[in-house]
Amino acid sequence: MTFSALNVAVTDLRGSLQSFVGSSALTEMTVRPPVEGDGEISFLRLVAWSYVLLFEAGRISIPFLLRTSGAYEQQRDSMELVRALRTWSFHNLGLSSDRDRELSRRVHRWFVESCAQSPPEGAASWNRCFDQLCALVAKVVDQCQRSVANVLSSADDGKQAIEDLRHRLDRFWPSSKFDALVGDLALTLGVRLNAVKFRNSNLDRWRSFLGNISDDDDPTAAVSRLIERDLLEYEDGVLPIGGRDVMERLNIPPGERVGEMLRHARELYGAGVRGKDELLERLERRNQLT
Amino acid sequence: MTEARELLVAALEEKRPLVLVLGQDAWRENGEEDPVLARALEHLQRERTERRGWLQLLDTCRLPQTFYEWLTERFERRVPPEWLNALAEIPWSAVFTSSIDPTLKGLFGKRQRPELVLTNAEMPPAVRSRVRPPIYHLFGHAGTPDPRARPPSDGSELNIRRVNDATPLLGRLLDTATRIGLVLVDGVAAERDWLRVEDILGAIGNAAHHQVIWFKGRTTLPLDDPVFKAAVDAGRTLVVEERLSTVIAQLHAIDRLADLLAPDSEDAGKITFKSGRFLETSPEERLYVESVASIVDDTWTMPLAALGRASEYAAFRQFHGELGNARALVEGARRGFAIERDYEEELSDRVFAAINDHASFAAPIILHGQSATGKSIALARIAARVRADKEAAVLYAKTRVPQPAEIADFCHAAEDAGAKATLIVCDTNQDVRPYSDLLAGLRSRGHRVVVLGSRYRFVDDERPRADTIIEAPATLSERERGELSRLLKRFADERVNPNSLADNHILSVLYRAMPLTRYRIGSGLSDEANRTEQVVRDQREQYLVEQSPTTLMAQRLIEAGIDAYESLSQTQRDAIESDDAATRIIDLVMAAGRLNCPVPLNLLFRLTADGQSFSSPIDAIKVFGNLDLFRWEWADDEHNELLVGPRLALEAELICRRRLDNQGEADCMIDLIGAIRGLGVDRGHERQFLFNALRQIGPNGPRGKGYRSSYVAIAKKLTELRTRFGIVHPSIILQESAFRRHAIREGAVEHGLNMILLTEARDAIQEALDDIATGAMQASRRTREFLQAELASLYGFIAYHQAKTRRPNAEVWRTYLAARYSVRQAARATGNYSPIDIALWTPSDLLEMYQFENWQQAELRADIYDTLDQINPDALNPAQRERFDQRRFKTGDALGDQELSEAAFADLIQRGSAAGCYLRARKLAPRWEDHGGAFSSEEREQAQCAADFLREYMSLVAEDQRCLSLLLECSWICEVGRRPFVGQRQPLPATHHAVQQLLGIVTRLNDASGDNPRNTTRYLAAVLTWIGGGERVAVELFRSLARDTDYEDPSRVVRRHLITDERGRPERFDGRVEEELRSGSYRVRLDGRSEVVTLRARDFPKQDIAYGRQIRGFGVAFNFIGPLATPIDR
Repeated sequence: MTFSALNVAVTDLRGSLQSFVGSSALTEMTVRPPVEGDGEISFLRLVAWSYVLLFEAGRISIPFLLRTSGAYEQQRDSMELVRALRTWSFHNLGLSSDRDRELSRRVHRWFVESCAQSPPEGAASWNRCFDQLCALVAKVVDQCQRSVANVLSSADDGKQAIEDLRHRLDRFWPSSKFDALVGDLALTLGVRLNAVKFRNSNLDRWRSFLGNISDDDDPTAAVSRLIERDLLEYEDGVLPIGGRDVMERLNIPPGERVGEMLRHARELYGAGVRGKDELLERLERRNQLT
Repeated sequence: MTEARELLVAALEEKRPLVLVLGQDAWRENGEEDPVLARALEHLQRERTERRGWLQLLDTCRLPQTFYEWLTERFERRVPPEWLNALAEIPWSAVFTSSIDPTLKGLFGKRQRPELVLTNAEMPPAVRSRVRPPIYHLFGHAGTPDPRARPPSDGSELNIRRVNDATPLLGRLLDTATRIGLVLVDGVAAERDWLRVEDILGAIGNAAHHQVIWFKGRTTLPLDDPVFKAAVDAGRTLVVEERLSTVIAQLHAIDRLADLLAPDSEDAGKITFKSGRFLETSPEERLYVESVASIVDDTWTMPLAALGRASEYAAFRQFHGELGNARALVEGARRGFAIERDYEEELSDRVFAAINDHASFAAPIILHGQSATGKSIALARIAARVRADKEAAVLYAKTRVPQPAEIADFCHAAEDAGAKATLIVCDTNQDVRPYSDLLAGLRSRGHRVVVLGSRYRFVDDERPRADTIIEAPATLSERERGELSRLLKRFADERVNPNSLADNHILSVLYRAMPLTRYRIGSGLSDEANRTEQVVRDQREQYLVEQSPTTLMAQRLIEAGIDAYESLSQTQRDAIESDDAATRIIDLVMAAGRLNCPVPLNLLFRLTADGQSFSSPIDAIKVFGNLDLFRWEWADDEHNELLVGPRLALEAELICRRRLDNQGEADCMIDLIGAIRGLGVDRGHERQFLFNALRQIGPNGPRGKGYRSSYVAIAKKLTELRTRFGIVHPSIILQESAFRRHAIREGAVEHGLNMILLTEARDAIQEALDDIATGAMQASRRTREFLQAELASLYGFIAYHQAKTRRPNAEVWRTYLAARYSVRQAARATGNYSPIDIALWTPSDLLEMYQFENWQQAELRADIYDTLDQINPDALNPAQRERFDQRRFKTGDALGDQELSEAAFADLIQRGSAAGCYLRARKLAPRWEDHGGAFSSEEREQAQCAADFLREYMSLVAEDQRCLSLLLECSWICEVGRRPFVGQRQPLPATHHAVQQLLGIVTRLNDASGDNPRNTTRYLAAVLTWIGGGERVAVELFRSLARDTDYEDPSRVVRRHLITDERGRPERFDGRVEEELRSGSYRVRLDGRSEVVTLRARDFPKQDIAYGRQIRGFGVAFNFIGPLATPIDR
């Protein structure tokens, strides 16, 4: 399997999905495609390209199509491998956590299976891994194309499957939609913050939440409530005093007592006591009383 | 809402029981109907009623028999919404659901190992468990073969299910939750669910404070119901506006569930070895490994719990009737629920040899064979044996072949703990390659492993096989046959019909002798067909890449100097590459195969390859030659064409049942017929196929009138072949006409279309006759005669329909004259009897049904007499003579010519034909069409006359099924005043004399039917024998009937008759409970008599049924299974 063939297969799949579902089902990929035969650089580009295909452009459609044909469990390993390769290639693995170690072992095993080296050395080894990865991703794409042929065009299940996929795509909100919501809610609550930065740190959680609620419960309202809660927590998080301030002022060692005082400080902050000195003074008094 | 959220979190933290009640509206979103329900209603062509939910499925007529199989596939194709997955993350202790979705088990099975409970008769292994939670399908689930567990098909069955199963099962709700647990209700809507809200309210009536949380969403709740309101007001039930999934999502989003959802580990995964050392796996390791393969730990080989006779039989049925998991298979094999096949000894030797010296086995051990040859059971048995031996660890994969990395750590740990090796059993029916890869992958890491895999049969038997490849033969040995007979006797307590074991092929034997295996066999074949689809795709890829022959047959052909690969065009390759082609090929071959019509290969590929055909069969052999599902034969000695068929017609039939409905099969045949192009010398096999297919699909074919709804489509396809593709052949034109006539005769077309179809047929025949006359078409003399007769018949039909629809006199008369002219032409041209028959029935029918003027009536009469005068009966052959005499008899009646009828009757008698007796007796008998109730005394007298008449000619009619059926019908009406097979709980003859007389007739009728007596008359023989005092013989008859109709005839459980007195009132019996046969089913001996009957506790809900109890005042009814105690006032 060559990359050109894989690319053609992806284009075909995009075309099929576009005709059945619409253009958002498998969006265009702007990441630069790899050039074949260029050793490590080709491989790394292929990893990035594959990741974008499976986890960004097709993050809704591809798992859906695999599930309709019952092939998801079979292909999940391939998809997870792409994710692991991407993490291994572009992130600094700490190797202190079990997860990192397992991920690293997995990539290592795959390299050995593909080119008998880990990590590959020399252009020939990298090219072998490139071919292996192409074949692996092509199988996933091929299975998706089969699902389009067998399920989306099926008289019995096609209509339902297409509607279901469209619905899931609609549920996948773009970041900008969250930004607008965050901006409005922050204004309502009087919270000052950088909406984009705030969104970036919560986006995955919000999207997961959005995917897990039924249409019966107005998704926009439910997400708004969650964002409101997060905004209030955020504001709580910006108390003008910290644990070190408490320990110094109250002259207490680290421990439960510090946490207890900080919780009390939050209550006071919520009740309108906003100044640093005022807060510490109130805590000092409470400490003396208890 | 916060309160509900905190209650849920607290219950999770404290690991208190959580019980989910999931309604049918769980899949409904935003006011839209559940998509599967919407599709089902569309499929059934029913209109949607917004407020009725799943109830509307049962609102009108009964669901078709195969509906739930179709629905199962829809459920399986549906991708569960993400929010439903969120529900499955909670460690439920039990789930009660009114949903019939069979995929729920899989959904909840991602984190737990649920146990299904489908009827009230079942108890789960644990009533509450966070590892193995029971899922109570209150109304059964789609796709189960067990008739009792199947969802209801109409409103009446729904009520029965509700009373018998749903309500009692729901009664276990609070016991399951205990006083400290939490009951969460989601997706239940009043007036839309099969489960009624009042039933739930009843079940939670004694709930503790805040024990029930009802998640509302957009469902309607019975807020006005005083019971519901009281539960809410008292704080027992908390109503939450959101859906449960939203609450769970919220808890996830605020990170409150992170540490609370870890799966439990009640079952220790301990594996001990002979040395006394053991391997103990952690819950995390188990979860990781068991996502791909079950760990066969010590609990799998623990001593089996003793089962009572009834429980053992139930377990036996479940083992053979349902597709169980690996553990259920191992347990069934250990209990001896399946025979040990001869090849298992060899398999066992190989496996143990490999465990003892794994290094000398460089390849996986492969067990290959067709569906239903016992592969899965053999693998389960060997897994149990290896573990019992305690030398090796065992992993058992049923869904896919594990990746080496997924189980390498387990293998390592097993070796460290003292295992000689790890046996990896893969019952996945894959090709050899994945097994080899698994073995090589693990060996490369230095692990001691033996891989044992299954696959469907290799085709090219002549290729020498390695000794690691063992075949599961499709034929039974004498020993195996004996074992099977003993197995059935032991578990099913049934006398096995020797004929059912006579077949050599194991699939046929199991199908006939063990009806409860039919679902599994069907599933296995369906799976094999699906796998074949995949192989078709893979093979063509390999073929196109390698461009070299892969099978023995192909190699030999190419060695013989035939190499046609180059001739395979790109279009052909592309077409075969399409997925649809693989599916279509299987459907087409199986639909034709069940009719014993092997399909010419070129025809098959023309249909699946977009108009292009193979130029050589070798190309096809390269691609498809090693598929065991098909059988191939050369169509001629020249090897110009290959014919493709199934292995067995029975297999084709089973595959068709799973993949296609009746219409789907007919469509396949129509497609095949429509793909025929040209009938020249080089297409002789296609011509042969066409004629064969038309014969088989027609009303005289093996399926009778099964395809009648497609007759018009077939006729039109033949017309299209002629008019569009120039396939002109007089025999095909005859069939065009014949299928149109059959369609009209069978009522398969709307009345308005009758005349159009007849006119089309007439025009085609006329055109053919004209072409023959001008020499434009060649036809033999015999074909010309048939065409003439067909034309005459068509005119007769047209006249008949015009008369029936009260067309103007002139129009009817004109058509009659055309018919008369055609008949005379045909009679002149042919020595065939058909024109004579037409010349008699056409005027005779017209006289009976249309008010002609006097002169026209005279003409018609004259025509009839003229035809009769011109016939020399002695010149007719015996069959023609009998038809002629019957026609003469009827014609005499139509003319009011007693003398003519008498003469015909005398002639029929003289020739030993019972037809005359039948016709005369039928005329004497009362009219009973659409007569469902009691007959009047006058009608009973008429029935008596008809019966007396038949008895008078008993020597003539004693072996004639028609006459004996009529005699039975008349005698029954005479004695009982009702028809014998109409309605339920009908009276039976009360006097000994009547019983014996009727039993004599039924016995005679069954004898006359040879090997195929009707089930209803077999049933009547059993009933009459039983009430006549022959209980022992009757029980045998009932058992045989019950076995043969199991999974075949849904009416077998209908209580057709009731023992009654001379006035038709039910007789009352008393009796004592002697034994509990199985849960809820008892044997009761009738007081003062020797007979026993079966009593089902659900029929007597107000009585406490138990061993030794006296039951009073019940009736005795009968169904195909035997006598049953039944409430009188039902």
